[in-house]
Amino acid sequence: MISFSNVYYSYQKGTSALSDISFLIDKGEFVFLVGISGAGKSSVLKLIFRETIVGSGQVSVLGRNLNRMRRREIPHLRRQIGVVYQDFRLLPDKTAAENVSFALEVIEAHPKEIKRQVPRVLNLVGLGDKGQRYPHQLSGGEQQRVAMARALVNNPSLLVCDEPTGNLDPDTSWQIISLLSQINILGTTVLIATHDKDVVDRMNRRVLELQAGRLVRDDRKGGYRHEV
Amino acid sequence: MKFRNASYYVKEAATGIWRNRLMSLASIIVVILTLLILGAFTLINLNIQAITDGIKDQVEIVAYLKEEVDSEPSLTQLRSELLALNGVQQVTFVSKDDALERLRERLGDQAGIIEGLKRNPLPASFEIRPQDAEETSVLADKIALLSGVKSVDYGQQIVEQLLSFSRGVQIFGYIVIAFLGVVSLFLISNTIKLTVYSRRRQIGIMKYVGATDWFIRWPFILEGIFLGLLGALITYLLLFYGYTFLYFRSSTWLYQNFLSVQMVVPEVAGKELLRFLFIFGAGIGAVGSAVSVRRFLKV
Repeated sequence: MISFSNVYYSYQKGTSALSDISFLIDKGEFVFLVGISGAGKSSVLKLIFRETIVGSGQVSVLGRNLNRMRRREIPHLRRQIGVVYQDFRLLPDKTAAENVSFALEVIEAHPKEIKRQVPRVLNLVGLGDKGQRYPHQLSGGEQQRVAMARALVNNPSLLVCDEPTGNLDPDTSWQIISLLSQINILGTTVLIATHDKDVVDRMNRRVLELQAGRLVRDDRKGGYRHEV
Repeated sequence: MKFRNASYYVKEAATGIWRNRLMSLASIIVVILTLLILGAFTLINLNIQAITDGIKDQVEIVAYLKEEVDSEPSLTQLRSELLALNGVQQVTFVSKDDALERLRERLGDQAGIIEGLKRNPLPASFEIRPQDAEETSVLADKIALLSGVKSVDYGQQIVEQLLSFSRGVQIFGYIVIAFLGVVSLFLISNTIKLTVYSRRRQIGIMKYVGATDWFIRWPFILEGIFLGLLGALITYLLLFYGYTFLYFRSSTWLYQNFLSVQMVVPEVAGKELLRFLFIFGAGIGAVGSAVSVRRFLKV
């Protein structure tokens, strides 16, 4: 599903962001990517999302070698990856349902398909009755659910989340993570970049830990900090 | 562009214009201002062109004949030699008598002085109209070499000055139009950049969910084209009515003072202006927005 082999990546100004990263994530896995801010989590996500490309090494996602991917192929890669951000990134002047259907409209989906898929994913994230509300009429947790519905509406095989619980209180965070876990059970591979210790410890799933751009830990079932 | 998407693009463009109506208004005003200058210059250029064309049409080479060329066969011979030259459009023979008659007409009241002449001192001549006024001097040199031709006259200096003036005006016109074109492109692209900027979140989300660059670009390009065309239309109306007004105010005066100078009639000038403004307006609108949206697509 995702493979990094000997990946090096530096920012434009030349500071090294990732050094010699190698890991493999299989289809159907549920993986946490942890580390303090600046450890390189965002860089890993950007590479997966083909927002940027490696300095050296190789990144493959969904069987495609991203090093060699052409610019006009990127949209088609992204249609198979759902993405959720800490700050939700909803359009404030569209309702929840419109925010979700927007994601299908802009990839030129058939109107019939849009009519069918939008209620389905809104139900899936537990917002079946709140589709007509605007983001400002929803709580933070609900907004994040809308963002998840948007990420899932195109049936992606991979869901990438960047600090999905960063703006939420512990209870709401737990609800969101449970929802992600359910989505994972339904077959979607889930990768979550986070520094939410509680959530990681409680889930006890695979953990990749980054420190200063290096992969220092890859536990099958782990907590946020490796016990010394 | 797929047909199903067309309605989405138009809807998005319309929403964009309406949501940023102040900005859109500013864009249209910028378009109008630049197109007004461009359009006015086009009209001036059009008229200068028409005037120089008119003058070029009147350029004529007069070949004065030697006294001994007066028999019918030698005249026919010379005429066919002239017609055989490259670039000759028309050849008219002016006999000695014709020449005298013309002089008499021109002298008017004072024609009496001619009556005192014992014999007609004026030479016979051929008046040659060149196909291309620019080639006049070359042609005149060739004609001067023909046997039977005594001398050649085509108002060398006046013609050459006129031609270089009209060429200069044209080149200056193109330079000014090119310069203003770049300036207006810059202004419009900056204005549309603001409407693009106000929707940068939306563009970012579109990129994340996998919309293609062209899908994102089209609404903005349509928006630019629409603003450009609307500006062009308003500019056209202003310039057309302004020009028509000017035409009727000045044409009598021009006619009285410069017999051969005539402004281009508004209907003709209007057609030319409309075509120019619409192509230019739509063009700067489209290119301007394409340029502005570029930076936001790099995600």
